[in-house]
This record gives sequence, structure tokens and C-alpha cells, in this order.
Amino acid sequence: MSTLKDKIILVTGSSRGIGATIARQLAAAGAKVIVNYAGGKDAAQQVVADIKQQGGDAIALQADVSKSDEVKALFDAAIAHYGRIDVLVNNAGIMITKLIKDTTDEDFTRQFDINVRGTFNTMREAATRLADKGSIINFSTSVNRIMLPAYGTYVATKAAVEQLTRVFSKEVGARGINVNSVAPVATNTELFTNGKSEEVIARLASLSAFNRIGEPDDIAQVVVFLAGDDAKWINAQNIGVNGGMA
Amino acid sequence: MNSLKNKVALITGSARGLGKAIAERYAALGADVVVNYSKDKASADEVVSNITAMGARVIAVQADVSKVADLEKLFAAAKEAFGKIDIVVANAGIEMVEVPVTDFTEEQFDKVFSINTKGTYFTMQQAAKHVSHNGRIIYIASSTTSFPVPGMAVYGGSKTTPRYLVDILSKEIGHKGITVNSIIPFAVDHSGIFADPAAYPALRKQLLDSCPMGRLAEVEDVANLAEFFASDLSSFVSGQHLLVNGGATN
Repeated sequence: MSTLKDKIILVTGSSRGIGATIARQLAAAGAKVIVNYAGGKDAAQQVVADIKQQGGDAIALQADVSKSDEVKALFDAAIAHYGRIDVLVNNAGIMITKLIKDTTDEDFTRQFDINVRGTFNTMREAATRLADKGSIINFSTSVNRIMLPAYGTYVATKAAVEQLTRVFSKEVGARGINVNSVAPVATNTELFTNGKSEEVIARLASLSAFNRIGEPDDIAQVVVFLAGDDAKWINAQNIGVNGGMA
Repeated sequence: MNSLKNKVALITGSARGLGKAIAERYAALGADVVVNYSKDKASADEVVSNITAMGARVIAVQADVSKVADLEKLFAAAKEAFGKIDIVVANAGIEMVEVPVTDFTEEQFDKVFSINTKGTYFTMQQAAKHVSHNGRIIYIASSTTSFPVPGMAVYGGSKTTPRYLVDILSKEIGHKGITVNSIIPFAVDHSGIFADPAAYPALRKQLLDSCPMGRLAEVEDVANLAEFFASDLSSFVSGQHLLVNGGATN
């Protein structure tokens, strides 16, 4: 039974949504957490304040993961503060749901820049700068398995993340680093509920064996497991966290 | 972190190997445990005494999983002893490797399928009938179903059907909050066909060469995942098949 005590964990995009819940749960399990944000400074500082109030340790660091120089600076600042990084959680991501015919060049580029290039940028830094025996947890989506209209570009980005995950695990395995992805679906966050009617949400909930959509805690607790040493032998896997939907 | 206090876990084929490691892990986390064995009473008794020493309640029940009547007795004995069943691990199985398709006999085929396929099906049927709300059903699968290797036709085939059963059962009983998942272990060292480290040298080398972490699995690697699937951490993870193979590709 592993604890996360003394592990230094970087969670990208953790000022809000699933990322903020992950940061809180990791801290509650004993980890020191780097709360990364792109624009939500106040929200990130609130997450840090909440963690500290519970007796935990965290700092907030700004970086747009889609920019390699900012990611490099993020690793510099995190390592300067905590001495090392043990676990990288690539949670930052955006979702734009439009039919392919309606998707603009900018919609396409923004999603690939943040979801794929962002994950690529942090993994490229992690390849040489994450501590030996560290762990990396990427974010895919279970929508990859159910083929919903209007999610085409989004699932394309996440398919790329899954493939990067599998290949990167072979490249860093010799340092004892394991690399996995989790695949949530329909989770009760702003990213998902924005612009959806109750009826649409109920229909998506009905696809789960538990007849509900996911909560951020459902996803975060799986990340807690994957961040610990008990999960070390799980490597290059994609884990659906979807209530049996797919 | 994880506690299984006040939970009752039943693990088929838990006198030795993976099943034993899972049974002892659950006991260490506070669960009451039902140990099942087919023939090896002496080993089952040893597991019982290990678990008793941890302070958990435990019984050992003989049952051949390929016989439905035996399974019914196993589950009835568990309920009689502990009043309920929260976690079922369908682990019992036999291995038969390095036999080309052309060489299998009808008798060998029937034996492997009766334990691995029929036995798992009816274990999970009993589990579906008896496991408490918000309980757990866990199937111990095989990575040969993900990475087909020559000589594994009947063994891998027998392990493929229950994978589909996990998919369906997770949907049929999700309304009770019960999760159903597969653990897909890589070849486990010091256990099963690799209990003797000198056994199957060519297969061992092939497997080791394919693993970026450069080793086979240990029973504790699998018990770690069995702990996760039994714990509250995995409450929204269902219908999943998770490899625990260090990133191996064979």
C-alpha cells in the first residue's frame, strides 16, 4: 500500500476542473504539488491556499504548456523550489465540440497545440529532468471508444496522446519511469457541461453502467493510484475511467 | 491508504501463486477472506495460517471451479461463514503453453476450457448473484490474449471468452454499483509455469526482451492492481481490462 509522502508532483492545468481535484487529492495523500495554470491565476492560488489550509504543501506556477520555452521555465522553477519532480500529470487540455465541417483552422490548431503539443512539451522535458523511477500520467478520453459526432478533432488529439504514451514508455523505461494515460468521459466539470442541456447530459449519463456522469473525484482517485509506487508495473496502458461506458 | 475492513473477499484458486498473494494482500488490508483450492489442501492450510496470523478471519473451502455444484457450495459456505460477499476474484485457472495447434488433444482442450472458461463463467455467475451492492468482481486474465504467441492457442483461447463476459456483466450489474474488471498479468516469475526459473528458457527470453523494465512480473505487482480494483479508488472504473506488464509488447 503506497503513500505519496514526499513525492513532488506537477499537475498541468490544475487551477480548475479535474486538475484542481487531482491536485487536492494528491496533496491529501501526502504529495507536494505544483499547481500549473495558463490563465487562471486566482483559481490556482485558491487551490494552493486550500491545500495549505489542510496542512499540505503546494505552489502555483504559470506556464502555457503549448509553448516549449514556458514549459522549460516551468520545470526550472519547480525544480528550483522543490529540488526535483517525481510525477508529471499531463491534465491540461481543451475540448471544442463541433462537427468537422464547422471546425475552423483555429479550433483545430488550438486543440492540437494544447492537448498534443502541450503533452509532448512536458514529456520532452521530463525525458531528462523527471526523477528516476518517476511516473507520468497523461489524459486521453473514453470518447475515443464511442465515436460521438462533433468530437472528431478532440478525439484525434487524444488518440495522439495515447500513442505518445505507449512509445514514450519504451524510451524512458530504462530509468524506471512508467507512463500511462487515463481516459475519462463525460465528467461533471465546466469543460464538459458548458453549453449542454440537462437532456443531453442525462443521455450521456445513461451510457454509463452506473447511470451517471463522472465526478472529478472519480478520476482523481485513479490518478492517485497511478502516481504511487504500487502502480509501478502498470506501464504503457490506457485506463478507462468511465463507469463502464466503454 | 486503502482499507478493506468489514469486507469479505472470495478468491478462487488461492492456495498458491497469484491467488495466494491476492488473498494475503486483502487480509493485510483488513478483509475477511475465503480461500479456495481444488486439490492442494496443505498449501491452502498454510495460507489460512498466514492470514490468521494477520488477525483476519479466514476459511478455506475445497471446490473444483469446473463444477457448478462445487461453486454453489463455495459461495454458500462463504455466506454462511461471513454473512455476505463483497469482492470476488475469479483467479483459478490452468496453464498449458508451447503446444502447437496441431498437437492438442480433445482431452487437453476440454480440460483447459472446463477450468478457465466454464469455471470462470460460473464463478462470475455466482458472483453476480451474491456480491453485495457496490461490490467488486475481478477477473485474472492473461496477456497472451493481448499479444498472441505461438503455442498459446488453447490457453489464450480459453482466457479470451471471459474478457467478453467482463464487458457484458459490467453493464448488466452496474446498476448495483458493482464494478467488473479484468487484470491482465504478464508472465509471473516464481509462479505458475515459471515457478522453476529454468523452465521454458526460450519463452522467458522472448518475454524479457520485450519488456522495457527488463523483468517478468512478480505476484506483488498483480496484488497491487488487485488492491486498486478492490478499493474505493476504482469505484468508477468498470468494464476495463488493465495490463500489468511493465510496458511489455509480448
